[in-house]
Amino acid sequence: MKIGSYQFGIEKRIVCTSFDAIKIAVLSVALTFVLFSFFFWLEGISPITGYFQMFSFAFGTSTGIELTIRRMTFMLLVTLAFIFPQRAGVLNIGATGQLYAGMLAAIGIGLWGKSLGSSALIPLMVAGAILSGGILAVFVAYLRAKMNVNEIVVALMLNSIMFYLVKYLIEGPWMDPSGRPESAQLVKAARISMIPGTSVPYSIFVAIAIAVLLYFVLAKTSFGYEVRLTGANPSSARYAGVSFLKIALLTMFIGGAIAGIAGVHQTAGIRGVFRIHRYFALYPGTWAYYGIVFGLISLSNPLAAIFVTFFFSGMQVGTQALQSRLGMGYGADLAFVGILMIVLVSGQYFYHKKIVWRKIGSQDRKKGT
Amino acid sequence: MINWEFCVAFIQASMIFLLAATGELVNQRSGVLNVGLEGLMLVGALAAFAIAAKTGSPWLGFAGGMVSGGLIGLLHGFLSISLKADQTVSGMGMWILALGMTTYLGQPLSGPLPGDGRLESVIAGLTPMFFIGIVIVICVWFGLFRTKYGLWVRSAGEDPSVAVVSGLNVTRIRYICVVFGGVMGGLAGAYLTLVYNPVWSPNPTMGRGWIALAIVFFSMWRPEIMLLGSFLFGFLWHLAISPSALQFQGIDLSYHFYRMIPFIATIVVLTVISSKKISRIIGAEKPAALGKPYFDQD
Repeated sequence: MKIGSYQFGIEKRIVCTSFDAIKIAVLSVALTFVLFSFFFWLEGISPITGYFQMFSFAFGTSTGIELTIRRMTFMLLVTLAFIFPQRAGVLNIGATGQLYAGMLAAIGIGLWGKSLGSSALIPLMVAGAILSGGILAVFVAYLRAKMNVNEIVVALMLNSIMFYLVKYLIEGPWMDPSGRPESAQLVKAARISMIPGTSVPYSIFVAIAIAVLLYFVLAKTSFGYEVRLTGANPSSARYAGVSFLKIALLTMFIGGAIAGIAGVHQTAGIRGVFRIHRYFALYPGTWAYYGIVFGLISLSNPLAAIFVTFFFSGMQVGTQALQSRLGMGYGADLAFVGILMIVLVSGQYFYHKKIVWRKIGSQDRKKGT
Repeated sequence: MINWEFCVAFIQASMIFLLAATGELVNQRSGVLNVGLEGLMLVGALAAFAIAAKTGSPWLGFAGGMVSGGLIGLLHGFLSISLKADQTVSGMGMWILALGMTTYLGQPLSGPLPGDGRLESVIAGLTPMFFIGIVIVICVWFGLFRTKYGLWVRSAGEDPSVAVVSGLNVTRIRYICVVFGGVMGGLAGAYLTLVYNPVWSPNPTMGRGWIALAIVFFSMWRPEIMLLGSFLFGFLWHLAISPSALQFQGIDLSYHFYRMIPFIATIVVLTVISSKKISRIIGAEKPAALGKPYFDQD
């Protein structure tokens, strides 16, 4: 293809280095920002003003930063819930259901153990969330590995089942005494305390610790090696004596457990109640899908996920601020993530291909992504 | 009580599943998985609703729904066929984009559809679109199993390299099928907001797309089982939202549990048919190349 005095073409990429992969991811994100300008255009806002307002709120004001870190805690956890099984080649699409399971366990135990002290109640809630999220994930993995049932369909079905279970409980047995469609308020002992002077719960440290831990497990332990081997090449892993069933079940359990912890953060850390947003029937369940996107951007690296989720949580908080500052409609942040997801998946094409160009008439070659 | 009115409503609910599942069946038979069916339906639902509300013509609404669904299908096709992207992730992306877009763009339209945009019923409460839908579905079955074109589609999904050797253009076949799947998804969405429940609210599909996707797996890729599945799920779905029909059962169970039944049933049935023994007895026809991009020798 000829553009100006340059000749463009697509060639096969022999090796995709991690630098290439990062370059592709960054370019994809940049393209997404360009495409998202469409929404500013619809609103009659200049994209520069829009993005400036977005980021100046999210990273430039103390309220904004607190909101960003609160959101990041959630996003980092659901991203890790996707990343870890992904490293073994297992797709965890059901983080939503696992998140709901964790939230239900947290709320259920929190409402039941009102009289217990904080030091007993919080660990119980976390343990309950880890178990319920993990078991839900293992159920999917088990059906897949043992009975050959399509894991995507089962996970999607479980997401809906959990949604109605949540709706039943918060409109029924656990309903707020005042009759609002939300669960009863958790007692103070069941709340995660805030970092002094801020509205950021301590769970952010838990999320970062899990990310670092997973990084070391993957990089330094034999279990981590088996996980990476299974993900890179399942048949050679089998020859090396690694049981796929074991790896799939364990990674999914860990993924589900982390999604469950995200549920504890969202209930005991943020709201103290369990509410279903009136605009999005699936919130915050839908947010759990963001983990897939952020996992892809982080190239399944738990440490990279910390920075990626910080940046994009700011982005999301900023978009929601635009909804109130510039009167932008609901749903734009969701659309942003959708565009990002599609652009990123398209960008993976360039893992195997590259665009090359040279000036017409000259022999020297330049390469781009 | 279960009366004719209830039956009409549940048949309409079933048609939504049937139309969406038919489109998904065709694109899965050609080897492309589109898990973004829910998104296709959302886009079709919004486009149809907006056009019918503006122009007052439900037929233009249906056309708009089909075209917009087809465009999303084309985008998914481009990603999964030309760019060979991960079809599950691409499909989820389509859904999230569609959910965000329709919520955002649909806000000014919230509320019931103005009267002149609605479709009048012709026979016993059924609209003409019901009969058109049935005809489309029959044509698809006939086309898929009784014509050479159907054979082309099925061979593209079964073994693309063999299909190429026999002189077929797998890329083109898959593109056509994915766009068709999108058009049918859009039509199903249009059916939802123009016939079944002519009101716009965010996320009107409420998981119907996931059910339609599940029906395709559930049916073992066979249309006759898919027809049964659609009506079964349509019945369960509508039962869950009609309290009067529930009281008739004499069971005091919250409607939430009725809403769960289709999803639970899918898992159970899928588990049963996925075992090798049973799927051989029933004859599951899973396209062997489903979800796998086809690589030309390059």
